[in-house]
Amino acid sequence: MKIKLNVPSKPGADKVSVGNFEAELKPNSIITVENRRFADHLIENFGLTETGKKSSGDDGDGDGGENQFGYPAGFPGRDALEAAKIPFETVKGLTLEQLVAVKGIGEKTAESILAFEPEETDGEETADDNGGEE
Amino acid sequence: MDTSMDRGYGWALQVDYATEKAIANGAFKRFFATDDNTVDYEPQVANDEGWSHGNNQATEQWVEAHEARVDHTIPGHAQELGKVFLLNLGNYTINTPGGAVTAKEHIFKPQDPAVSRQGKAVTYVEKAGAGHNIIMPRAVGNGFTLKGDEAGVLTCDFGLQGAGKIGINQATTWTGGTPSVVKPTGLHKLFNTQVGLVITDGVTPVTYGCRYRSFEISYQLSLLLAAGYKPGCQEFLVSGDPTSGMIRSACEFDKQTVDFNFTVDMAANSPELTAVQQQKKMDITLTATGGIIEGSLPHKLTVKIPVAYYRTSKPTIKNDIWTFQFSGSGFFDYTTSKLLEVALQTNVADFALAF
Repeated sequence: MKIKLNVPSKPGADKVSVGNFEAELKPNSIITVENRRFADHLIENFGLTETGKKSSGDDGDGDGGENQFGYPAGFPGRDALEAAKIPFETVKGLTLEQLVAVKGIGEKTAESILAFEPEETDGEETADDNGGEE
Repeated sequence: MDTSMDRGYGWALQVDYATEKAIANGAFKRFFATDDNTVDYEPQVANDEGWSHGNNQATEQWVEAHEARVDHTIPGHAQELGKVFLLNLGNYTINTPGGAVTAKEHIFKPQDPAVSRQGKAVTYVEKAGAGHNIIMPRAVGNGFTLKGDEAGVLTCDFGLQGAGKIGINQATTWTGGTPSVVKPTGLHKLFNTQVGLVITDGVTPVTYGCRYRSFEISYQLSLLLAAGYKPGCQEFLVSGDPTSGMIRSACEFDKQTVDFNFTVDMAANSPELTAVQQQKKMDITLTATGGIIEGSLPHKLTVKIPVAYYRTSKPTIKNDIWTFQFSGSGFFDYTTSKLLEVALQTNVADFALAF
């Protein structure tokens, strides 16, 4: 699971660690962490925001690992699809019109879903998540 | 013949609980302990007593697991205290004070269990004379007690809980041109004479000033020791050999508690006993301000317990005069979202890299 976070201009710390999870907070940068709970800690305590996470969900790229709905990492519109409780296996068979009918999925995201292939690491800064999943 | 002078203790921070630090030139940093404790190691054994073998005694004994831990006391060097805090208070942030070049402010708070209950681990090394040179990996902190008394240096008691594995007769070197264990330099001591204590009941702050005598602040972790032995992980003293005995695959914490004890000179209308009787909510700030790092930035230790309740306050005789000795515990503060905060300003860039 890779979670991309935007670091604000004044994050309130140069570096943060919780146990074996750590991240350097360079202002106005994007960092990647691999633990959901550590990401939530950074969001709640240091004002980081999750990249692509917007209330409409129209341009969300659904970054994150697999979960109970079976979506692979980086699947577009994942948040809106999970909110609608649509599993990945069902989404694979939907048409463009059916995807656009899901609340929070716009035409652009629907096209991305139809064209989706698993993404590679894109070289952005990765925080040190030696803690691993627990 | 070797004396207590020929003892040494050192450590190196591991990247995670499982990955032991290898012995190599400069891999470990020595720390200066005021005690001469050594690792308490004990195999967890079982035997066949009471089995229906027809004998009135056990006939054999075997090892099932291993246990190892050690306690030490270090003097209050600003650059060393942060390592103990990092091991025990896992929420750690680094800030750069205004105007600083080498000084950093390090903030330590109890680790958020919602993120992880696994604290950082060190590989610990120890020698005592010519016949004892051991290594103990996967050592996590189980708490510390920071103390100051009269004119003395601050001290810090702490414990390291191992996974049970001990490496005996190691090749760790402690002297020479490129030893495995390197001595720290440029350490700055903090003294009890540099301590200021301010306690407020939310209405009237009491700055103890000249009345202050001594303190003990104890942060303790209860560790999930039994749960750390995970038979399914199949981790043994000798890799792949179950008969060599199991070692821990994790060592997570359960409870996090703070207790304190202060001694102050008595004064007319001392508020401490009233605070006990009325169970007032107290806010404690203890600072120790040392020498200058650069510009106007000193080595400085600040311990905050934002919500505290006294348990006892009792007149005692110290230095042939009446004093009050009062104690209590810290509680989680919803307003500031913390049980305890330790701020340490010193010339260490990052304590995670300082081991």
